[in-house]
Amino acid sequence: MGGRFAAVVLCATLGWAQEPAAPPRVFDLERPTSRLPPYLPLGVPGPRSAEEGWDPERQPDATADLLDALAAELPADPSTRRAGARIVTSSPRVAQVLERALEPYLRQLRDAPRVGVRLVPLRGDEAAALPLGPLPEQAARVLAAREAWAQASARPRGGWLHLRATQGVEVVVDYEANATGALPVREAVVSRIETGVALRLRVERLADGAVYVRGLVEWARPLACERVRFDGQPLDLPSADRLRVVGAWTLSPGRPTLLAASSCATAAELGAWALVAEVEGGSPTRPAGATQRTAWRHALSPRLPADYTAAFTGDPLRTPKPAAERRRERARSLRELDGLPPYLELEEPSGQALALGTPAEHERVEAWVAAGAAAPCALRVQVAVGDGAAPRPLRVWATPGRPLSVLVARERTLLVGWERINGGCGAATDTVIVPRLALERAGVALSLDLDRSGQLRAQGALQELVSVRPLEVEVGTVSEVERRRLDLAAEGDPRSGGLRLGQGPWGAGEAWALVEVER
Amino acid sequence: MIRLSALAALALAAAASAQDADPGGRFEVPVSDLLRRSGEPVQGVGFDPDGAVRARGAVLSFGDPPSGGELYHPYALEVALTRLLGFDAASVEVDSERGVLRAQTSAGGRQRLERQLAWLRAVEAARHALRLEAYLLPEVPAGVRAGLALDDAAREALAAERPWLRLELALTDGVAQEACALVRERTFLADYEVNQTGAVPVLNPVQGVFREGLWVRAAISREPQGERRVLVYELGAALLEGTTAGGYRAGLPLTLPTWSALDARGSFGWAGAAQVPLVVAQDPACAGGRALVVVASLAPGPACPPPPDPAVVLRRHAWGALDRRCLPDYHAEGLGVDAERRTRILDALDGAVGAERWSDESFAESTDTGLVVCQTQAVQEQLARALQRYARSRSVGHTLVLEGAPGTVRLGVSAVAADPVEIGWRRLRRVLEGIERSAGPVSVRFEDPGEDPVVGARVHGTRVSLSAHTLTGLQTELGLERETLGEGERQRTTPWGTLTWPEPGPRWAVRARVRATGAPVVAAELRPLGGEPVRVTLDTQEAP
Repeated sequence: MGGRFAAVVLCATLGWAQEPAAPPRVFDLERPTSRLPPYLPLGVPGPRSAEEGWDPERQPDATADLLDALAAELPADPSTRRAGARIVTSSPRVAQVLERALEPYLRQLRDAPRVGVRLVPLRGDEAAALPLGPLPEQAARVLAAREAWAQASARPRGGWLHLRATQGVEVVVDYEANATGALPVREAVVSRIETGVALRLRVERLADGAVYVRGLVEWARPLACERVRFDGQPLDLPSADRLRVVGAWTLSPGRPTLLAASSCATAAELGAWALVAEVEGGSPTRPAGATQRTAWRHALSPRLPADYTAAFTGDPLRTPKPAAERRRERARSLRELDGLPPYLELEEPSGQALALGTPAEHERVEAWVAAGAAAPCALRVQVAVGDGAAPRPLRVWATPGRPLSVLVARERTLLVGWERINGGCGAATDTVIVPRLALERAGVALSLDLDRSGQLRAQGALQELVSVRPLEVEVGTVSEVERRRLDLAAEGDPRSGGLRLGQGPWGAGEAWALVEVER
Repeated sequence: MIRLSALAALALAAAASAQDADPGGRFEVPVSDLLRRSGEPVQGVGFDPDGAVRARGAVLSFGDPPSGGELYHPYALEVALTRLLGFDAASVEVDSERGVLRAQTSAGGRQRLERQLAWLRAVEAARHALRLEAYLLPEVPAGVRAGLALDDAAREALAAERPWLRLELALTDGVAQEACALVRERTFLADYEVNQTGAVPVLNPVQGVFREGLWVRAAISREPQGERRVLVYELGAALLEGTTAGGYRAGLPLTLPTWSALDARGSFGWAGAAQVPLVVAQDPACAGGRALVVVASLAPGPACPPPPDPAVVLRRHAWGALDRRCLPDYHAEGLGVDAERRTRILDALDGAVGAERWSDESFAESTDTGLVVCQTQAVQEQLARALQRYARSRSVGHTLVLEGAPGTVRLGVSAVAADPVEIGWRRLRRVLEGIERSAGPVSVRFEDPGEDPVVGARVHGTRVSLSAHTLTGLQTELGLERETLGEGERQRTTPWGTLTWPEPGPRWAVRARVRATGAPVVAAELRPLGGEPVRVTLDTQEAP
């Protein structure tokens, strides 16, 4: 408990400011934990990466300091007590002051917006025709009436939305050797192959009522799981279709927003689909007009640099260390402004600021954030595969300054080799054999990084599995594969005439990809 | 009422400017695209471009100078823009890590600054559109010669063929970029390796990858004055001709590929938009005897907009048009650059205009992509004239012909004036050529020593480097190596598998100095031990 708060309580106990007792009121500023479980991709298990076990950012909590700052403004009262992030008071005067100062912030904590996504199948050339961004009412009604491949929605706790609506089967996906003892042993790796939809989003309410959402939406559909024998033991080789979109968007409540749409069916055979996000409700914006100081949590993220890159495995919300430094530096530059709320605590990892100030002071912070927000932009990637085939669109709603990636792929695990493992020196001469697996992807993967000056950096690949040749070996049957691949990479301004991402042979024909800005 | 409206307009303007500027006229402008052009390295072609499999023999590989490069040093932008703003510049600072320019100035100063950046961005956004087409043909068509523009008949002959591969690059002036077009990618069990860290040596498979296609690393540089542009390139091509199953122990198969590989380094200076064969290669032993022809075409150059403020002009002259390339040191790969020449050019700028023209606010500095000069437009024009004297964009085409059994080998490559070139066109075949027995660690009793198959690549083909000394009365130094494989092969069956050794053919090398006469010149005549007579002819033609 802060010193000032203690002084107030002490003064109150000496008999100042006596007033009739009222039923106690509780002001609870406790925030849900921001800890998240590590992200595990859906579908076919990929190579284990160091990022998989990552523990997301732990917020330093500025709430206690906020209460210290607020204590100085409270009338003295013996019935007012504080425990952690809670204040209990029986004094109507104290309750009135607390209510005025904290109610907007309590609403912010209490009334999180509901965030939902739907993956909807499309018909005909709808993927090319639907407008990206906020959907017109008619289009929104049509898509809402259609049965979704997958949908999920929730109210985020503590700003994080970690939601998995999945089904799974347990299969033996691998074998591992444990060679730490005298005798190396082999253990089966049983994994749950999850299919369905998973969201991992950071959700922040902006001052104008919009919601800033960044993170990952993933969907996986199971395909046949092949069972083979490896060194006499069963081994399952799962397959799945996977769609993964990673990016950051500003969504308006009550208006479904089309984030991506595609009929680019190369290899993955997903057909045409649309990814729609919607936010509902949530707390109203901070009350305007009042002159008293109120508490408010400002989302600074739209103004902070973002280069969390959407790795195709691991957690896309992880900010690389140099980027985290830059974010911190940028957040600290906010302090150079004049007329800020007297109490302003930056929670740097999350890019938020907890402030206690007058509406005018809050507006200074909001204007600073708004100055960094760039208008979103609709990008159309035309992908043509084969001889003379019409190009298929992959369209995405991109926010300049925020990296965005899309993966549409059919994935398949293949047994491509083995590894015989021996015990350490002095150990017995036994060895064990474990499989070497490879994840073969067929489809398209693109990472699009549009900066505020309109320059786009694009990278990715178009890939197709042409043939799998079985080869009998001493432990079973391994696969040699032949694949087609077109590397996609470009840097430039796509606004005039588009930006060619790549062109190359594709069987008897040609494949190419071009990215354009939609008007 | 009018005053009220004016006040309202002023308030609106102030509010609008406050939207993207901090108090005191501070603002940020992204400039990352002016600081650096990133070029992602692109994986090469051929067998095992990542080097996962032990390379015992020739594998197509290149040195790895970084792609992309620095356009303007942050200091250059700071000085030029500070000079532009004059007394209006409260502060101009480039944060290179975040790629933003932070400035504090008046509204008018901001407009000038943004106009200057927009112009600079327009200059650097212009791209040279280079198109490469690789053809596999039964014979080299008449009129197709490396380094010489295609005539109408040759153009028609090539237009009737379907290119094997095509690559398009949009290149920033003077900045190298890599690209690759693949026909296919194949994976196979390529080798085994012994792990003898434990009590028992164990044998594990190594997966190999073959990437069939065309790889290029190219940079195009505009001359300081004039229309010519210089292309500096490295080219790699790999064609998978087939695989054979290796006869290693039962249950431990090996897949052994055979392929043809081209690696070439050269240059070319364009005067117009002609189609030019950069490389021509044909050997009866490689790619089934077919000729590989790589033709380049360059779209008309982008026009440079005039600078918005002639008092302060920042200009970058790409090094590629001024450089002289040299053969690498013995330990390096690729062609080097004459660094002393760059220093001489930089030093000569001081005297190119009067000393009084250089002040604290004007400068010339070297980046890895070019020579950056900050001066007035009038002085820039004088400097461009001075720099033009160093421009070297006249081109030649070298064609080397080996005549003798079992046929004619033809290698052609283009080059700027006296630049050196390299070209290799070879057929490679991986064979199981031995077994290496590995014991376990000392003092450990082992029952089954590991047997490591030794898989090597046998090469058939020619590799040549040419270094020309002057253009007038061209003296060309020729370094030629030829390895050949005979028709037959020896095999030996062992308890560990069937070992194979292709019959070696004649192997020879030539070092010669040739004076070009505008007609084919015999560089060497030799009779390799155990082989037929061979005549080596070099024909160096200057491009018109």
